[in-house]
Amino acid sequence: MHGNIVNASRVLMGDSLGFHILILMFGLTLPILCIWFEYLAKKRNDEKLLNLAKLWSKVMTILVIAGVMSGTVVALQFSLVWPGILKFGGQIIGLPFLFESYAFIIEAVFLALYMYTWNKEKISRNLHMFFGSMVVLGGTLSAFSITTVNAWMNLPKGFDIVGGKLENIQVWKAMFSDTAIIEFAHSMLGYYLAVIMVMASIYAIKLRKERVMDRQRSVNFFVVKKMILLSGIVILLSIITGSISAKYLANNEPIKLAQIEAVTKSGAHSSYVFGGILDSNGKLVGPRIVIPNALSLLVGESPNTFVKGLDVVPLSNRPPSYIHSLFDIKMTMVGILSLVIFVFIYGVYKKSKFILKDNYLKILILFGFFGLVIVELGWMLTEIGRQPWAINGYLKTQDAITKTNNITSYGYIFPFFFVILFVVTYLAVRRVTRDPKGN
Amino acid sequence: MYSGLVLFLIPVSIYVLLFIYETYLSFKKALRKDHKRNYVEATWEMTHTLLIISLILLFVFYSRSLNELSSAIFAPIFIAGTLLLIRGILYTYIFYVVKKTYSKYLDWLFFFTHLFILIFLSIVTFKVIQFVINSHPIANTNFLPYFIPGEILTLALILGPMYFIYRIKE
Repeated sequence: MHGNIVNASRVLMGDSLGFHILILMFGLTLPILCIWFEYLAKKRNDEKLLNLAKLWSKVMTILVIAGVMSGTVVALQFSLVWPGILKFGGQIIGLPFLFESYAFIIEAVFLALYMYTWNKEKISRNLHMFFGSMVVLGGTLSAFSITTVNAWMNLPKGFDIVGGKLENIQVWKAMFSDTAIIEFAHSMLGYYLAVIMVMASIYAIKLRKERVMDRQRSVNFFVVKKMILLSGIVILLSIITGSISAKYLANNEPIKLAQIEAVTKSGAHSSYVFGGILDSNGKLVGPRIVIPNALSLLVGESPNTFVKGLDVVPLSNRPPSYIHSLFDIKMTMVGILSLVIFVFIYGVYKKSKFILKDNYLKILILFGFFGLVIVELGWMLTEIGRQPWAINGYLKTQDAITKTNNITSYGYIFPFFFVILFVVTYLAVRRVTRDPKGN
Repeated sequence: MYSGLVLFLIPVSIYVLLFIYETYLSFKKALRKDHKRNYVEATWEMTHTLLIISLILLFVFYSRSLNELSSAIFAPIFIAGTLLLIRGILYTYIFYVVKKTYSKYLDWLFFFTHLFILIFLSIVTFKVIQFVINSHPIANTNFLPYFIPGEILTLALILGPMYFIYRIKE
């Protein structure tokens, strides 16, 4: 029975976080795009670009309102459903929560300021962009703070346990670990990529409604071009942070890496495995592509690098085996998205017309939304890959859950309301974007 | 022991006061016969940051007693959280989705969510006070040296802009 409650609570928390992450990645990326286009509008003295920035900022406001609501619910669930996490780690990792609240105030106040001063004559364009930069700063600091908590749950540091009690607590060491910086960089790049590609897809939809001969000079094509060029840079940086993450996992969370990469036996010359399924006994079955030595090369830059396998832990202490398949899905999507992006960049470089054709735009529209799924899958891998631990090596998930209340009775109200909030937010965004004046 | 309580009570009290005014505005809106959007501006959404801060401070400072604290406030805070979500949905719908006319029942529903949020948040606050007085939980005072300078810096950053927003607001 307890197992059912634990699983139900995990699904509940996962649903809420999944929804909140969707909203927050727009909240983190749209301010940057707004400032960028405001800057371009100023530089080119282009009213159309300025109107785009204004429009996006209105969408951003609606999403922030939804994000405040979902964020409050996530904070409540984290504390009330999983009190064990803060009971164990609150003294060590409470600091990022405090910083997050400061960052959040800065973000909210400057967002209001940014929105209220769009049409104020006394406010110069540069000052207005500065207000926008403060929104970016607040949002980024907020994301950093929360990511450090997750990084600490993956690799707890900054304390000793002496006689069953916490001693030598170092709150800075707990917060500013290498893990936190890698995880933060990789997740932020994922958010940027996802939102930039969604924007490219949305403007590709608009572009398709125009006549082919008009597309080259269209503002919609300008947006698509800028977004995809930017996504090319972001995806390259993501590949770098992704490979650093793999090295970090090999050193610090080897079981998570072993399960993700389906490394069944420890040893050197470890292969990269794509495909196949890990069965309930931890054996890899089914069709798969195996690249010899590739994993050892990736994590240690040498085929002789030793990689820990699943054989070093009992089945009961391994994460669920399906995360290998989730990782394969994620990497397939990353591969397709990269191809779409680099084909477009090649087309721009060669001044080719094929990127303006309906067929290519359809592909772009279809795969542009992959970024959102990639981010969600990334977080699922991080969280599910840490199981059965809530705080890696110290506190099991089943011991972190509240002992006094049956969360399943209350909690399923939230996914229901999240669905309604999602629909209403979508309708609000659609209304704002269809109103030419954006009122 | 009481430092955490004080740090929770200050922002939550300011939030409740501002929310009482917001509840009054939503009541006034429900009484109006037309559908003018004479109420909430984006600035009011800023006040919700205070609630999040209050909760974070409460949970961070009393993390060692979170099991007991969460069972003491579980029901009212879950109800308040649900009502906040409903309020957020109604706010977005009334002020961003509907065009000219809509059912006045929505305005009344909007008002009642405010009213019940106030009631349940007050219950939460009283239960927290009762819990701290009766159970003597240990507060994580090790964060105070970071919390206070951080708060001063944040206030220094936002007070000017906040004053500016309310001054220029139409």
